[in-house]
Amino acid sequence: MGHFDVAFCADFVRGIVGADDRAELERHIAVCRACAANLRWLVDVAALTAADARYEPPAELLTRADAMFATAKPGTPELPCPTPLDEAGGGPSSGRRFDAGEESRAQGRSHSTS
Amino acid sequence: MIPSTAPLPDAPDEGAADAVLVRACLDGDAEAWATVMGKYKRLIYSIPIKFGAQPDDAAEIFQAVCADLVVELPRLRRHEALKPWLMRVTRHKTMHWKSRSRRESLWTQPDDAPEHLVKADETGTRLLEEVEREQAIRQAVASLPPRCQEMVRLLFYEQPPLPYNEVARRLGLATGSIGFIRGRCLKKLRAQLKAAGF
Repeated sequence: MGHFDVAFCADFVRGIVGADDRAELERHIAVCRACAANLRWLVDVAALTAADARYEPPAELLTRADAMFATAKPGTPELPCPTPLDEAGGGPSSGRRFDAGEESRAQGRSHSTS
Repeated sequence: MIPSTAPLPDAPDEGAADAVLVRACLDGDAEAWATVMGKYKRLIYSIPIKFGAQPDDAAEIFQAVCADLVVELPRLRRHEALKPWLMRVTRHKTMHWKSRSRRESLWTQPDDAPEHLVKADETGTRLLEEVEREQAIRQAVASLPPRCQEMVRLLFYEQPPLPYNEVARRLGLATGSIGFIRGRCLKKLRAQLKAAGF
């Protein structure tokens, strides 16, 4: 028997192949390392991407982050540096708050997802 | 099949690309900053969510990490190490939040039992490996040609899975040509993930 192509394996992982095709592929991967490996990375990708939308932060947080950048101008020497890099951390409350004016200055830039 | 959780090596190209972005941010380039945020926003936000934070707490942690990044950029010794720095700082803030909320809730369960702490530590390590693998996939997808990026997003990021006539419609393709393009895009994605050590 020949190998299953990557597109078919993707369909298998997405759960959109028929019962007969599914059974055939399952029999095949039991004896074919190449197709089993092809299937494995697709399973990984499907599992890890399935919940990705949950991790999209609200847009207002990005607006605030832009405002922080616009206000702080990281390259300037007078920038306050309260936390040594190697000890960076602390609680969420260490985050700085910014006013609506700062937010509005940062409007208009987009943050495409990588 | 269970996704494997072996740690990934840092792709050298990603480190170099991050170093360029950090230098541009230090020059005050707002577009570079927006690119950094676009690239790592889900990585940052996902860590507190995975460790059980509700959206309000995750938002507070996200904001604190961004504030630290702005402040610390000039002192980032290895510009190419932006991603591990973000992961370390976000994890630290998440652990701080977790221990604070545990104290505040006055739990009486035997959380301090050594075996429980070991288990929690193993879980934390596994979650962070998962975060790295998710980021590797995002970056691999982002490195594909635009049409392949869209194809992969439609194939894997849409839940429930879209039928092919809908995928074709959204991509402006004939349904009959989907098969070839889909296979080609998946092979490119595979190559990118292999290069990233996936």
